[in-house]
Amino acid sequence: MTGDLILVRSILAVVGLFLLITTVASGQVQDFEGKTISTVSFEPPDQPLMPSALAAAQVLRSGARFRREDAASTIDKLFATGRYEDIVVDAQAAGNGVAVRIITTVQWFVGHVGVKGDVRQSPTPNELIEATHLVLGQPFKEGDLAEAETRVRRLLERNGLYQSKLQIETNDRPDIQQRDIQFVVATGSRARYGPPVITGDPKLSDDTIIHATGWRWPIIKKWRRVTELRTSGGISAILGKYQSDGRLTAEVLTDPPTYDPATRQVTSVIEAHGGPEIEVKAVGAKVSQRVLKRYVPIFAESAVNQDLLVLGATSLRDHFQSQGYFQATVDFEELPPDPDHQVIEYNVNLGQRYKLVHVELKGNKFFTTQDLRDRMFLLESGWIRERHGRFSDVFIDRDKQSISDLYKSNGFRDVSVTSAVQNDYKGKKNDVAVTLTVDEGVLWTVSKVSITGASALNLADLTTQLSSIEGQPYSDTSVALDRNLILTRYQKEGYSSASFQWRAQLDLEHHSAALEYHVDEGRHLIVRDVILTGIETTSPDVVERLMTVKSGDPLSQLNLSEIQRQLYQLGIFSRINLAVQDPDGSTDVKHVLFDFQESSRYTLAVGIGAELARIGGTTSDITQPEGSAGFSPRFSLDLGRQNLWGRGHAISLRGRVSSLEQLASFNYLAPRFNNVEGRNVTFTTQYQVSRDVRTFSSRRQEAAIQVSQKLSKPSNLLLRFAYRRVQASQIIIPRLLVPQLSQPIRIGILSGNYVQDRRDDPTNATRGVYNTLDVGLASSAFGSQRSFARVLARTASYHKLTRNLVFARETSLGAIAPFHIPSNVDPGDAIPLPERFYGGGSSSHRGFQENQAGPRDIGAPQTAASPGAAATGFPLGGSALFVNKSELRFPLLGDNISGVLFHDMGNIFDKVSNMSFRVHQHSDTDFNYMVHAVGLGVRYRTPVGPIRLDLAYSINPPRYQGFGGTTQDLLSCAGGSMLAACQTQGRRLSHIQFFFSIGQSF
Amino acid sequence: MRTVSQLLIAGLLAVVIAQAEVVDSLVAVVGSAAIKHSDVLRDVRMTAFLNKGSVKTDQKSQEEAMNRLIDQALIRQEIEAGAYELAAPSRVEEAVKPVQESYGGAVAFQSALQRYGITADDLRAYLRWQITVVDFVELRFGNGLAGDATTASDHAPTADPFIAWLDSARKNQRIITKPERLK
Repeated sequence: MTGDLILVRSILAVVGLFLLITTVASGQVQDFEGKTISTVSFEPPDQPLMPSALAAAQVLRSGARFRREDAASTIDKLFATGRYEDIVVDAQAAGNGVAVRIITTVQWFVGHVGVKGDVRQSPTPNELIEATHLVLGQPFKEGDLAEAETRVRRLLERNGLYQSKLQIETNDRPDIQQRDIQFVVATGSRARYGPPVITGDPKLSDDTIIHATGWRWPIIKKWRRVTELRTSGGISAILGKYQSDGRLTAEVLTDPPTYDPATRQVTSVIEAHGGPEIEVKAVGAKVSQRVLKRYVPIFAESAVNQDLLVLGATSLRDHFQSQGYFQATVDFEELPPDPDHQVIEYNVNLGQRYKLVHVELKGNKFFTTQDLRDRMFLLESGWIRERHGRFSDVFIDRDKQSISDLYKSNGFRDVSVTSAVQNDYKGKKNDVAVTLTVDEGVLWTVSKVSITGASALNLADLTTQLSSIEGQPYSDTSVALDRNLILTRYQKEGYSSASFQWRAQLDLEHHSAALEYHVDEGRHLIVRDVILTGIETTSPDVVERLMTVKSGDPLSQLNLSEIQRQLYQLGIFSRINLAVQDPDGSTDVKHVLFDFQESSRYTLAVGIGAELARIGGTTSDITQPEGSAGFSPRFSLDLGRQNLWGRGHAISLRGRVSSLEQLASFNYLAPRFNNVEGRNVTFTTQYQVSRDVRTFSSRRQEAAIQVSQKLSKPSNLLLRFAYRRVQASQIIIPRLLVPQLSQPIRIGILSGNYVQDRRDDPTNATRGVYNTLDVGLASSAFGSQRSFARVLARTASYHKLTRNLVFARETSLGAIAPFHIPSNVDPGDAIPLPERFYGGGSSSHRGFQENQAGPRDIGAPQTAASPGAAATGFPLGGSALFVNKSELRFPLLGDNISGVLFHDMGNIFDKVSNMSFRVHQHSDTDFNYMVHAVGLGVRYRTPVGPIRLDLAYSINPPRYQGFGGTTQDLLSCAGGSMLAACQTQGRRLSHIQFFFSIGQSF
Repeated sequence: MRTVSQLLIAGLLAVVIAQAEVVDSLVAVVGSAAIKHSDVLRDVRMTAFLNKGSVKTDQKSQEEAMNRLIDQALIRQEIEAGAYELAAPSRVEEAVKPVQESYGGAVAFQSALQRYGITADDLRAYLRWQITVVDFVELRFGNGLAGDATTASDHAPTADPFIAWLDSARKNQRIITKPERLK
């Protein structure tokens, strides 16, 4: 008992002493200032910084004197690296010195942000990711996830997904301080709209507003499912309705709708204020509402304010000036408003109508007049377009400015451009001439260029590429080019913050400038590592082999963007985010992050269409070798599987069905074969039945492998080996019903194709060239039953004659030469029908309808070996091809409608030796002559290329013998029957042909 | 038993003596800017020096100083983003003079600096920043701040566009504070 008491007393004494000591200790601030630092340790010992960066940031060092300001400085430097969220420095006595401990909490960064679950559309996974506001590589802060979750939930609710369930999964990667975040969404059923509550002063009935929203199916009156797009579209549609009623100041507001879980419907409150009806009219000139709506922006902006009305007056004035009313003035007046009706009146004073008949440039020596005219807005009156020319004071000022800028950018710093307008030019009333006089001044040149500040990079090789070199014109434009050149070099080498300053010392006597370029190189960023995230099904090496940036390389945004571009070209990623982790941190060695969102692997496309064409020449109707206009429905189905085996390969199944063609094909594509950019390998098998040529149906079963290689930006090379079984079936000409042509033939052909495309715009070229060369060899060595060599060369060039006039030409030359002809085959039949050249049509010789050029069936005389056959006149194709096309393309009406005058010449010839330039057809069995056609066309510009209508007049279309009876008649006519039905009829292909299609002819 | 007591006492003494002292730490983060406890204490001392008052290191005073520094960090970020110019050194020297005179000359001034635990460079940096802020406010908002430009949060009229901007900047910037460390 006594012992216990002593123990209790002892413990109480110790605790009392402890409390006393603790109190004393905590009340004192130990003074470590000036004491020797015995150790510096980190807690935790593993730090995110590289050893060199850690050493650079750490001011407190063992053996040094402790100073509080060093501790503060250490915190600052460590925090500035961006790798820490919190830092505490503590110290404690250790012998005579002090032990310092740096306690850190690392900063996390946003990594891969992905979405899993049944999210496809409204919203899309990418929209959900965008809604999180989590940015790859940025610091991840406390509360980020909660905010992201709130935003995602709001987005889901805006899309009617009120019953969605959302889970957030995170995956930490401590080695790179990165937090990957996955949003797992179960969307549940989508809510429907319910009857909205309409408030305000709508001036429209509730039914009209509801109908405008499109939130309810018409007729069946069932409310549709909620999507954000549909909601905003509905509000826009109400505004559109007001606008169509002339209520341009209408306002429609809506708050987030309320959701009723019981009915699973949302109720929106739509606050609508119709506002007054706005009437815009013009007085003083006849102006249609269409023109007013086009030029007065209150219609487009759905708002009425002073700025827009002034802009409308200016636009109307410019419009009238472009119509020749060069002195037109326009102002406006808002008539006293009626509560429900407001009138805005544009007062137009047109003045005299003029015609700009002459534009003259004087004083220009350095640039040709054409060079300057190409940059000018002023335009003399034309025959079809701009019948009064293009003229206004604004245009004159603009042209003076652009000419002046051109001269200044080429070293004429003192250039001045003046203008003079002459009315009643050459005594003709209301004709106007404009003279622009250029005083070029003196050409300033560069006397010397020096570069300072460049120590890390050697810019010696750049000096020859600079625009401003000794003796060259001195201009701000050249300096700007030099600046870009130098900074691009720095950025490629990882100096993303490099900056450029310059100054010029002008020598007024010699008109020269000594340029001093100064580079501030800034920080040199290095890649610490490349981190790939978000790759799930793709094989990592598909991506890694494109990663030409590795640890230790300069961190160049330009190089990284190029890698990103190449990765996109694989076609297997819908989104590739590229970021630098901790971009604002002071460390120069950074993680580079690529975050991927893989594309959907399956694609399905179903198409329905129709073809309007000359269809004819069936076995039941042999009277129309040219065919007759007909309608052919067309159905298509494409099923694709992308990113096969995670290798980026793709397979696709295609089907096409129409009365002219049935096609089923299987394609396998291996892009970027052997990791060579621009090299693709394709394996194709297909079954095709087509009736492009009236004479027969072609049945083709083919397997082919091809390798394409992009040689340069304009050049492509393609090597192809195809093995096919072709058969001409449904042959309607008895003469061809011989085994050699109607039996299936196997063709093995190796071909090469070279394409050079230097056109400025492939859909509507105005400059450049387009050349192709296709060479093929079918031989028994390739398992072919027919041997022939085939060459087809095409060359097209486009020349801009004037600003608006383009001359285009294309020449095609082709030949098929058979060899090793089997003994049982007539040399004339050595080339199977489907392998021959055919010509004619909208993209070929426009003097013929589709595939109607060349040799035609002339029948066969009766011989001992053959009963003979009557001529049908159906095209047979040939072994040689020559087509030359020339076009003059010019503007016709406005900016979108242009015209074409063309001349096509050429034909398909039965063999190369029979090619001829003569223009006369010797007889109706002679088709080896040059057919000429002239014509005109109209083009309407659209985003997908011009819509084309061509009308051709064939000057010397071929005459031929046709058959007027039935197929049965034709067959019974063999053997020289003298039946009336067996008599062939002399015919001639039509002189007039017309074509309607999309895209230029060539 | 005595041995046990002695051991206990020795152990507890060792724990107490081995207890480390926090020398400095982060007390607030404003975007990418850090505010340390030492910054807060310097501000407290600087304010006291300029006001010729006593150095108050109680939690409330420190929290007030921390809030001033947060405002300054927001302003600094805006000044850097807008590439506003810092005050010229000559203007700083002009601002130092009246402070020096208020302390009755160079010797007393130096002595006061030592007493408040700040250096002349600290003071110059502080005054330079004050002038820069006044310039910024005048240039950006077209009105000057009366008195101490660095105590923006003390200004009552919230209608002042500068104060309104500051409120907005506070809302838009992620600010993390650790007031428990201000002891």
